[in-house]
Amino acid sequence: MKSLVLASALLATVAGAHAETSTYAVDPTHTFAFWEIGHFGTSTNRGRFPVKEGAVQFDRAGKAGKAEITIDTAAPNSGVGALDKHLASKDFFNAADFPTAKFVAEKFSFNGDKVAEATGTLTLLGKTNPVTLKASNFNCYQNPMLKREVCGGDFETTITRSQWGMNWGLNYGFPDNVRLLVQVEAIKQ
Amino acid sequence: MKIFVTSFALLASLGAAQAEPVTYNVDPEHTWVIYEVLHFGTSTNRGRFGVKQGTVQIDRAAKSGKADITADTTAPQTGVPALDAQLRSGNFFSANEFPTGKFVADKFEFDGDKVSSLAGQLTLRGKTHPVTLKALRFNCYQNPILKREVCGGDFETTVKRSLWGISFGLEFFSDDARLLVQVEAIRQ
Repeated sequence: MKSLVLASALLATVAGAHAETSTYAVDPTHTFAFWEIGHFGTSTNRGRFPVKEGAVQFDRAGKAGKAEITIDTAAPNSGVGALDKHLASKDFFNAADFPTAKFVAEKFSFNGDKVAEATGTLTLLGKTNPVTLKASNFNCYQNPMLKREVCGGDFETTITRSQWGMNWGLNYGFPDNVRLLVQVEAIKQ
Repeated sequence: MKIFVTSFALLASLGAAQAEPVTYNVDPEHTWVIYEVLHFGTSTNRGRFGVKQGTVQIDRAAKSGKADITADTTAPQTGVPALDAQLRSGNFFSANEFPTGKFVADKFEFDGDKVSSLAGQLTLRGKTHPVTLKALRFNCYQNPILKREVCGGDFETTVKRSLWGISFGLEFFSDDARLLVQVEAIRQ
């Protein structure tokens, strides 16, 4: 695996002038957006949203990239049915009016040949604010089942939900800060 | 809230001689076992198991406690039905034969009046090994909806799944599994 990355990096360097951007399609069985929010200052409530679609363009030699990932706000999964309904309601994600959320990254920063950060915007409830996702893991590998290259990792950020107008419960002491953990794996096209 | 904890601790130390353990029942809506394993050395696969039942006894004055928590291995929730089925199967949790996993803690450590770690035994697939859960946070509060005291927190440990004989797919899922346990328990 490492030798594959090294070899392709080497190849890319050799062919520097015509380095190419590869497109990767997000694999929805290995791509989820998880939230973490404090509950009464005591424990952490966690859940996930599935991804509807996503494409990542990635030029390792040119150290550039773009990503566009669409999240299904109608399908929060916390393990508690009543909470899932509440999250999809107007109090939180208003999935009836805004069935998707979108993260668009226009700037990738690299640490060596690994993506370290993806900077862009998050659109939720029709409002768009800047967000930077930091990579805690990033890797590319040859998937033996798909027989294709897969790149992915774990990305995280903490947002203040009120910036997107999601204010429910703030007056009861439910936190404004929400940690987002994004697992992504995307398959080379 | 802080005032409540402080006055409770004060009361407990005044009555130290006859301090008694208090029993709490785990709230299954705020108690989950989340696992994290690395997928092909690339991204983190997460899933959760629900809790069937659990009781916690805490004696804050004597700084001791006990916990007994039973997780439901028949209903893993990863968001991917095919993976859920794999996890229930003989390759992973053998849920038909072993429908529960159990954590029994008999040693609580405290940092001040807060629980800081729980040492005990984790039983999975009929095998039992020692495990210590570290508290990332711990707190007690008066729940305004239940009108009862609730104690809980976030606990974590990293286990080697192969120790319990869960050795399938080590080439794509790491042997190290991080367990994140959210617990809230209601005073009885």
